[in-house]
Amino acid sequence: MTRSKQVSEKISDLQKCPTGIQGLDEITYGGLPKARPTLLCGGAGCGKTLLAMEFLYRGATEFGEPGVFMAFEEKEKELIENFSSLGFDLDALIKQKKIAVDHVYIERNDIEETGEYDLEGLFVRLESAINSVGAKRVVLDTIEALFSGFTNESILRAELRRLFRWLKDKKVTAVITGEKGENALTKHGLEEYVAGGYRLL
Amino acid sequence: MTNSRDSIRKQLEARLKKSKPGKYTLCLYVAGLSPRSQKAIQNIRKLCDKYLPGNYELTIYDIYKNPIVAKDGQILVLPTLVKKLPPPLRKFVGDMSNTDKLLVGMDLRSENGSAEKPFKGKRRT
Repeated sequence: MTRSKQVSEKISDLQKCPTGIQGLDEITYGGLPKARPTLLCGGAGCGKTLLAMEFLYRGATEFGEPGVFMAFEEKEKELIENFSSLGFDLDALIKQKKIAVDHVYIERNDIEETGEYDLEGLFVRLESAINSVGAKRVVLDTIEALFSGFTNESILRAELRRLFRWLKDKKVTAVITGEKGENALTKHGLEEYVAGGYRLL
Repeated sequence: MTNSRDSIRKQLEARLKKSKPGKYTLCLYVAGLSPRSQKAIQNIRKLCDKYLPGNYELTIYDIYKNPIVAKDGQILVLPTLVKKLPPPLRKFVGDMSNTDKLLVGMDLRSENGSAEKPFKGKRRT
């Protein structure tokens, strides 16, 4: 089911962040690389969002690590509903300040680009969400939505590179989801930026 | 009951008459004192003074000082200008250096760019 990048026991000095998902922690020798971003990619509907949310949920309930979920697709209410049907009481964790959800809405066509810009708004929102719960885990699901909202790819790519460096500096264990591309791991070549490692569903 | 409702309506109508038609309500979101933010503020002030003299209300939000406005306003990219009124609501991103695009987007100029006239306050939406 999950094929992991060659993780040998030799690199056991690399600290791991347990996902709490039994099979996954076994085949990854203890979880995801700690304090690093991991790219999680797969086709539509294969369970990227579910895996990412379970990683946050178990982090908050079993490992005492609060988390932030940046949702580029579903609204907060939809996420709560979807996951309550699977037995995750997200609402309670949000109220207890163990999980923060920020829904990022991107209009597809309504934005006029009138000169140079950057994604500082995303950074500020992410930082304030991280600070609000003292997050150790972060999920960005899925950041590729940015490519459908904005046309200037060179700005986006430079900003993504800055984002992943920033996440490392923040020392959070991050999961970034991406849609599987035809000839590459992801549609927009996100794998270029995420150094921590990747999982293909 | 009806009396008070009528009086409220009268007040509203009076206020409506006082306010100019099609007054522009604009919000500009910036990040601190970055050069790009400063440029956007200058550019948008210049544009408003030239094309909307005395007929606009510009509010500037610094999201470093107030991060919650970025979440509430669904701001992702900076600088962002939101034209709230007159409808339709429109969003512009960038340092506002592309005056042509802004004028077209704010319905101050038609797409072919022929009618470049300063706003005279007669436009109704």
